[in-house]
Amino acid sequence: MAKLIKYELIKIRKTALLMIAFATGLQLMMLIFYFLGQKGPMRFIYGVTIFISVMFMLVLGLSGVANFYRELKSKNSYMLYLTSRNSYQILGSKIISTLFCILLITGIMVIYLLLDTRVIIDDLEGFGRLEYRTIYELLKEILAEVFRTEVGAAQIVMIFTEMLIAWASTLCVGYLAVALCFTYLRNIKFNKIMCVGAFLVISYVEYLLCGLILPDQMLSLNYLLGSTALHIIVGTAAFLCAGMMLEKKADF
Amino acid sequence: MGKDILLKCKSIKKAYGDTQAVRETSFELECGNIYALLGPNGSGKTTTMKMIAGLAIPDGGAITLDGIPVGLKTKDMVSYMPTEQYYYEFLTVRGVGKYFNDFYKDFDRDRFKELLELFEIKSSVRVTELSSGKMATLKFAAAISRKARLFMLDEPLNGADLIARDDIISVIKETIRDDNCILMSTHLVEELQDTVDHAFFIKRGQIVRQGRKAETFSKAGQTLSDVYRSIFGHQRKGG
Repeated sequence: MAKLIKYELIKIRKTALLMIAFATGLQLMMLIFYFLGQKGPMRFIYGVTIFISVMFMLVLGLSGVANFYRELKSKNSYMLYLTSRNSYQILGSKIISTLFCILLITGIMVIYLLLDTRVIIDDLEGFGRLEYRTIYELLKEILAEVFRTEVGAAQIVMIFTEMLIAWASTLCVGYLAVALCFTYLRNIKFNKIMCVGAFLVISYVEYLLCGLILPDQMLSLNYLLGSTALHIIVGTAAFLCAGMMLEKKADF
Repeated sequence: MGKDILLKCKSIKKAYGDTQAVRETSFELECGNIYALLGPNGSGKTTTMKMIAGLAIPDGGAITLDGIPVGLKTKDMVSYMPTEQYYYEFLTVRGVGKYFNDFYKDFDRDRFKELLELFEIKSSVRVTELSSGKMATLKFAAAISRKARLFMLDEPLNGADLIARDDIISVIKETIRDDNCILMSTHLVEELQDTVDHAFFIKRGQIVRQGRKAETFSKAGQTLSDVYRSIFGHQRKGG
C-alpha cells in the first residue's frame, strides 16, 4: 500500500506544487503592498486567498476523480491492475494521497490566511475589532464573528474534522461514479453524463440527510458528530461499492 | 512423461457489447514451451491474453494457472507485455525499473540493466521521449526481466528494428526454462517461425487449428506461414 501511495503522490505533486506556488506568490504580493501601504490591493488579495483556499479543495478532489477516470480509460490502468494489488488498495491509496495533499495545502493556506488576517482584518467591514493573543484565539474570534456564536476548541476541531471527512466522502462518491462508468454503464450511450448524474444525486441525498440531523443546532457538537458519522457511512459505502465493482466487473 | 501443465483455459468466452471477442475457447500450456497465438487483427489474441493476465473478466469458462483460478494470486506469476505504451508519462526508463522492482518481487534489476544496454536504451530518458522502437524494446526488457512462470508477449516484435528483433528472439530463447512458458501473439509469423514450439491459430475468437510445430506442421511439409495463409487467406478474400 505504501508503494501505491508513493506513486499516487508523484502523480499529484505537480498540481499540489502549483497550488502552493500560486498561494505563495499571492502572499509575496500582499507583502509588497503592505510595505507600500496600499490597503485596497491587500484586501483584494485577502479575498482571493480565501476564495482559492476553498477552490483548492474542490480542484484537488475533482482532479483526483478526473485523473482516476482518465487512468482507467487509458492503458495506464495496466500499471495498477497488472500488479497483485486489489481495487480497494488502489482506491485507498488514491484517497490517502489526496487527503495528505489536502492537509498539507490546507495547513499552508490556514497559516497564510491567519497571517493575512492579523494584518488586514481590523480594516474589513463587517468584522468587529478582534482581541487576540494567539492563533487559536484569532481563529476562535473569526469563527465567532462568522457564526455569531461562541465557538470552543472542541467545536473548532470538529468543524475541521467534519469538513475533511465530508470532502473524503464526496471523493469516494466520485470514485463510485467512475467505477459505475467502467462497469455497469460501460456499454451505454451517454454513460459519462449518467455517472455525473449519479454523483450529484448521491451527494444531494447526503446533503439532505445532513439537514435532518439537529437542523437548528448547526454548530453543536452533536450535529457535528452526527454529520461526521453520516459522511463516514456514505463514504465507506461508496468506497466499498466502487472497489467491489472494479474488482468483479471492470475490464481494462 | 509429459511436462507440467501450467495454464488451463476451458471454454472461455468474452464479449464487448455485441462483439463476441472470444468464443468457447479451450487450450493448455505446458512448461518449457514457447507458444504462438497467431491470427489477424481482431481475432481475439489480445482479449485472450488479457483474460489470462486478469485484466479482463471472462463471461464464461475457467482459467487456472498452476491449478489456481486466475485472480490476484496469479498476477504475481504472470508477466504480461501489452502491445501498447502503458507506462506513466512521468516515468523515466530508470523509473520503470524502479516501479517494477517496487511491485514485482521476482523482478531482476541486474537483468533489466543488461537488457537496457543490449537494446541501447538510456536510463535517464523519459518514456514519452522514446521512439516507438525503443519503447517496444523497453516494454520487452521490463517484462522479460521478471522471473515469472508465464510470460505473455503481445506482438513482441512490433516496432523493433531488424537487429533488435534478433536480440528479442535470442532473449526469448534464453528465458525459457523447465518451470515457465512463453505465450506470444504475433502476425509476424515468419520471423518467429524457428522460435515457436507450438502454435494456436485463432480466427474470430476461436482456436481453429493448433499443434506442435515439429510434429504437426513440419512433418506435413508446412511452415507456420503456410498454415497461416491457408487459414486466413480466404478470410481476407471474403471467405
